[in-house]
Amino acid sequence: MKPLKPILSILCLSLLFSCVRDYLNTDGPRLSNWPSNLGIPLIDTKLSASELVKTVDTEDLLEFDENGLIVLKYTGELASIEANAIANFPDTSAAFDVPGFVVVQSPISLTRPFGGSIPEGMKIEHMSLRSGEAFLKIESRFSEPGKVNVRIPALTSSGTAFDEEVDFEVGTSQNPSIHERVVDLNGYEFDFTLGTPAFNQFDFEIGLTMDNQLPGFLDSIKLEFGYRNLEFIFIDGDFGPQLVSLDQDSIYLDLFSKLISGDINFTDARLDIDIESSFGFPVDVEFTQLEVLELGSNQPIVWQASGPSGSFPNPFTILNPDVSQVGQTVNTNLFMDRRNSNIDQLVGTKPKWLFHQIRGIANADSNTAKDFMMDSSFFKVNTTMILPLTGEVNSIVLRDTIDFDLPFDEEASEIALRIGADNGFPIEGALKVVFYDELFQDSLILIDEKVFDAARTNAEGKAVSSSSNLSDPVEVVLSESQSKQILNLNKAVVDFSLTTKQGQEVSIFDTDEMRLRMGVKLGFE
Amino acid sequence: MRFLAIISVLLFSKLAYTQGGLGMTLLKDVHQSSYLNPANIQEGEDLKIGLPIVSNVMFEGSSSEFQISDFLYPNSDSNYLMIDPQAVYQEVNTKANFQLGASYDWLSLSKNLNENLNLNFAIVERINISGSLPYNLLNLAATGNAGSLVGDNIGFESLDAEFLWYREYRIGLATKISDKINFGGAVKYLQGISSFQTISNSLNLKTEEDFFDLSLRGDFSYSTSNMNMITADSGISIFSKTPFWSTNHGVGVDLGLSFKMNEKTDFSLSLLDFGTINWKNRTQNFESNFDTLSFSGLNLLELFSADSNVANLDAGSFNTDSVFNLLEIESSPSSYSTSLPFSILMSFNYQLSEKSSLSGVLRSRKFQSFWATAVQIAYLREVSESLTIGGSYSAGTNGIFNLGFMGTYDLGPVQVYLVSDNIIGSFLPQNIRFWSTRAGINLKL
Repeated sequence: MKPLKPILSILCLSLLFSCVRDYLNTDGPRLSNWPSNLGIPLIDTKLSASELVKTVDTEDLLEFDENGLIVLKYTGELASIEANAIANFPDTSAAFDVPGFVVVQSPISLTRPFGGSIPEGMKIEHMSLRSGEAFLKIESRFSEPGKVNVRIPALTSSGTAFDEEVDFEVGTSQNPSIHERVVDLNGYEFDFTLGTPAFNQFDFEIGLTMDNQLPGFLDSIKLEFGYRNLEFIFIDGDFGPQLVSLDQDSIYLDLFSKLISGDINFTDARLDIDIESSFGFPVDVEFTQLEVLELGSNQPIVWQASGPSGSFPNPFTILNPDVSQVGQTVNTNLFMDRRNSNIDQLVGTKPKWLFHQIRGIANADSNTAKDFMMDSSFFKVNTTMILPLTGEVNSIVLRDTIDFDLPFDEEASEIALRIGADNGFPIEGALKVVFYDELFQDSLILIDEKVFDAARTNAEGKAVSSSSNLSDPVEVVLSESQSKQILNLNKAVVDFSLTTKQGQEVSIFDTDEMRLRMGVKLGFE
Repeated sequence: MRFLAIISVLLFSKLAYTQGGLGMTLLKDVHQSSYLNPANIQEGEDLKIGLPIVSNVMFEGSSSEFQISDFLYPNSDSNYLMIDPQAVYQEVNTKANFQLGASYDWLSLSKNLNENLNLNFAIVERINISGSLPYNLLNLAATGNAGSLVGDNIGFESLDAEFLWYREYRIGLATKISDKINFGGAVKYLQGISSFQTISNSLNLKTEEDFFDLSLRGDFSYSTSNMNMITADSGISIFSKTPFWSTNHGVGVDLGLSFKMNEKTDFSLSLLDFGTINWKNRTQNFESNFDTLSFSGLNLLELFSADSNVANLDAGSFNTDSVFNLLEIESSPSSYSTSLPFSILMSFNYQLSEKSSLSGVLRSRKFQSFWATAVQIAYLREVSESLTIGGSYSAGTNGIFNLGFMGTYDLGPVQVYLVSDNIIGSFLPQNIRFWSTRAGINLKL
């Protein structure tokens, strides 16, 4: 046995290591049981109206007015039109033949009128050109060479009349000699008043000069004059009645799309209409359609241009720049509110779509003053729906569905949820949280009750002192069976309901704020 | 994760109050006994050689309040190391101290130059781990923050830990001053290999009653050196990465005195491990920099905000960087020093007969945050010329019923020895609160 003793000693050490080996060969430490009473603060949020606006207002729809009242603003463009939609000048040309027997001497002169392609009803007297081309094309079947000169007194550049000369060669009826001259009209100006009638057309003078002999009796020459790609800088005259807008469009009021139920009655809604015009003629504007389609409804609420204190003018005439204001934009501002229309009814209850159509007619009243426009002139009708957050809220519900996974996998013997708030908003809140399983079959209502009262308000509906239950929060305790049931649920539908006291109109100001608190106590046996 | 497991064993287990094999003091014929009694002069003129590694392997551990298996146990189903504070927190008064130690010799030599003078030399690798777990922390982990502790300031001031891995090169000399007095001492050059040490800790946690708001106050700091020596991607790498040389220098001294009252009775006194190590290699001093860390819930505005940086509440997503950021921990690379776990050891030996003796040992040892004291009564008997065995009874603050064993066996020039202050603990260290085992094979030439 003696030789075995050292071996046994070493064996003992081996045993020692084998006993602790399991302790070292692990993936790490983990608590065997949850602490018997675990308190976890869940939510601590200070919600001031201004912070709330910054957070939820990703499209810059919310503003504060000069009194700090929160104002919801939707801005849209009802109609717009640019100058080239009213006046454009298609490519135009005119051609005529000069027979040889007419040329009984050299030179000879001819004068011909030229009428451009002008929009119907417009009488243009002057036109300054930004770009374009005039061209003179000659097809000569003369048996003798010569030259053609075209002069247009009504078309000048820096005071000098258009005057171009083109040589032509000998041609035959089977093989005419063709010549063309193209002139860049940039910087030229038309003065149609030199012609008769004194608008829309001009005369051009043609001179034909033979170099040597007169043409044969049966010879002929074809002259074609025209312009193309004409773009103007400025035109004036009498444009006559023109339909400048008949657009139909809609504005999507996105903020209300998440409302599940309830309604909001905005008591001071207003629609600002801002019309810009740089056209040198008056435009009469008329709303032919203005209506709102509520969420979940197919019956639109139609706008009426009359209210208890007057009527919104429909149609109305917008202002325009006069001849001393060429190139400037003149604004016309109108608004409609509940005093001159039923706009409050249109937007008062969770609107979603605002449909509108507007018609604009230039010179509708047969204006006698000279009309003008530049190529940059435009006409634009902008609207801003202004909804001050003043009114009555009737149980509007904001809903969200949340996937969740409880961080513990053993049954809690107690789950107690505490909710409280120090509320400085004049609106009370209720919370409903229902847990569901994956298939929305099994469910458990966690809470369905009011969690905070509205702040106390003054006569104008402004919150003056907060209402708090932080020291006595709402507590919801799940029973043991409910605590067990919740382990199998992984979705939560959260309905947050807001309402004002019945019949009370309140206003939300930037100074309104609340502190929302929530905590949970978990008990494990 | 394996490293965490080991740290958890060390921090949370409560192996504590090790006394490092008190019985070794009594095995005077084993030349490594001079580590505990520098005044010891072995008999004979042989050159005693301790072979590398196998000549002196020691493991020790103790826990002041409870046994490790009550608090920490492997889970056969999940491969996790389960921590069960609910099982033990009520056994703790103010704090639970723990200590673990291990050592082995690279080489040891001992030679009596004459009958009055012994010269010895050794290179010893040592690892010491100690620390304290406050009752408050265990109570919090067991009962939670929303039970009886809600509204209280829960202090964690006594939470601390120290890890010390170093190598000592010791030269010892023991001499007989007179017929009755032996004096010995050893000078030790120390090479620090790796270190972790909590410096300060005044953290306390409070949970408010209404919504369970949490606030952590106070500060803490700790220092490390060469932590890469013990951590690796897949776990811990102690010994597998043992460096040959280190630039963390230190010195230490052992002193011993023996007094022979009469032919049968002698006393001895030892002052051991008086020394320090200056750590300057890969040092990091971490210090928290927050006044109050509060959490009262999530901010809904941040949750709704598209560009917010909302913390992910999945515990698995937390990492070291996020914790450091949360606690505003700053680090600096300055050097620091640590003290060795100083010991005072007193013993007596009464010769009952020619071949048997009765001994007693008292040892008090200073760890970073606590003193550990134990006493031992031992009976030793020379069974034959080659075999000496004995039994011991030890008692300390961590247990009063520890039966030990000691013995040496000479097989020609080979000497085998084994000392255990708790026999059960040698085999089931996790099931007791105090254990120490030392064994080795020496040569006598």
